[in-house]
Amino acid sequence: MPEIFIAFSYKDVLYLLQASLVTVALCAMAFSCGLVVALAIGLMRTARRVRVLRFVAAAYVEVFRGTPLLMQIFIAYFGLSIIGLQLPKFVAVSIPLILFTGAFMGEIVRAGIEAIPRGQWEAGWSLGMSYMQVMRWVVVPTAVRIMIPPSVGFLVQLVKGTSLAYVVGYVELTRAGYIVSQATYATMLVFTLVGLIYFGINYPLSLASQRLEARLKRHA
Amino acid sequence: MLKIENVHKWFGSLHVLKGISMEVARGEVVVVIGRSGSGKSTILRCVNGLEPIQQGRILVDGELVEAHSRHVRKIREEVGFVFQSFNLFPYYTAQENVSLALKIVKKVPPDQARGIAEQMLGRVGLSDKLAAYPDQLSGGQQQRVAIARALAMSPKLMLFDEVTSALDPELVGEVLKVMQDLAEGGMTMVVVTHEMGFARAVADRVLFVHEGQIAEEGTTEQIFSAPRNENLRSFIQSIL
Repeated sequence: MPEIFIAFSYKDVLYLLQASLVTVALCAMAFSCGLVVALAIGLMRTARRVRVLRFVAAAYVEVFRGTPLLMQIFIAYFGLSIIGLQLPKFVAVSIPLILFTGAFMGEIVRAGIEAIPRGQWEAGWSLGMSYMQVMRWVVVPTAVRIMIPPSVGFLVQLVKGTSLAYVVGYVELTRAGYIVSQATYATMLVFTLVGLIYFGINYPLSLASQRLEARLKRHA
Repeated sequence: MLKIENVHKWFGSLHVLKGISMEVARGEVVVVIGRSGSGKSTILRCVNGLEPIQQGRILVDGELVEAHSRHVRKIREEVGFVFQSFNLFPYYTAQENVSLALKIVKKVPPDQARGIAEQMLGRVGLSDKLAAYPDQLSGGQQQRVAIARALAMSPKLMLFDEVTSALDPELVGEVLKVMQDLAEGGMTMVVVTHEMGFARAVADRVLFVHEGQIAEEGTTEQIFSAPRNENLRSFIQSIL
């Protein structure tokens, strides 16, 4: 092997693991902020008596779910810089991820809310509760349980989705793998390792969700 | 206590209530009978504003009921409603089902709310089921929790919408017993039911609803022994 290449070593593994922390952090940030957006979208989409709210939320969902995340990141970073708004990479990657999460999770929230039988609403109302009180105390406790499996499904997608941040040169796990493979030419080895790390993040998520589901199901 | 004046209701183009007028005095127990689809449940649902009406007026203790208004919540606090399908909250214990609205609607302190819940569940014979979740209770027990939940709000008027129709036959008695105790305790009640035995035993007055109108009204004796209306006669024959 020519001298200009650096041999693949444990240091590269550490570098990848470090980058995986960036992926996890990016994901955690996008998911938690996205959840706030999703909650608002879900509430708006189920607002039976306010048509404008439903329309705005539906339009939002269609746009951010109907276009590639890659393109959204592109526009946030390169597109906005054309009109003079140069966002830092982290922000340019975060905003599309948050909005993307808001759209997908918003639909999961809506489905969870709509799955609650009308009788539950009527029981709450007939006790004098307001719409938001029924939502908070009656609908949400049940809806959350319905939402767990699809939410974890989305979260797993999101972990992989953060790899798209590489297009703007933001160094997360995939970008780090690219850098290491360029330096060492151990491409297969590196990307197998990268794949394993993604799996190592996602598999515990699935397990945790199964546990949570089983625990919450006790009084379904 | 309850005054319904010439109420009309449409579901789309379907005219389901065609000029209903009735009154219920304080402490009175009125039983509403009729075939399914006659509109009897709809009357109850209009009384606590779960369904809007298109014409006429409904007054509960002198207060106008307007569905979707903010004020209707105040009225609902004072009108207990018990559903055919129980509609207990699945992730709350029996005690929590009963105390929830006390805490969040009436702002009763938690300890006190729990005390009231225990007392109400005792009243319906479920003192040993405070910590049970709905799925651990039989249908009859669930319905009694639902009655306790409504009673906890200390309502002036209780509405029962075919509350025994979803129950296994052997569980009907325990629920009717609770309702009979309530009636004897002086509660004002409007009961939609197919339980003619209960009507005979408890009702001060019986209304027969047919195709969205009150076709006949009278004491239990008059309704069951000397029905005048043709439809009522055939209805009574069909259920006996």
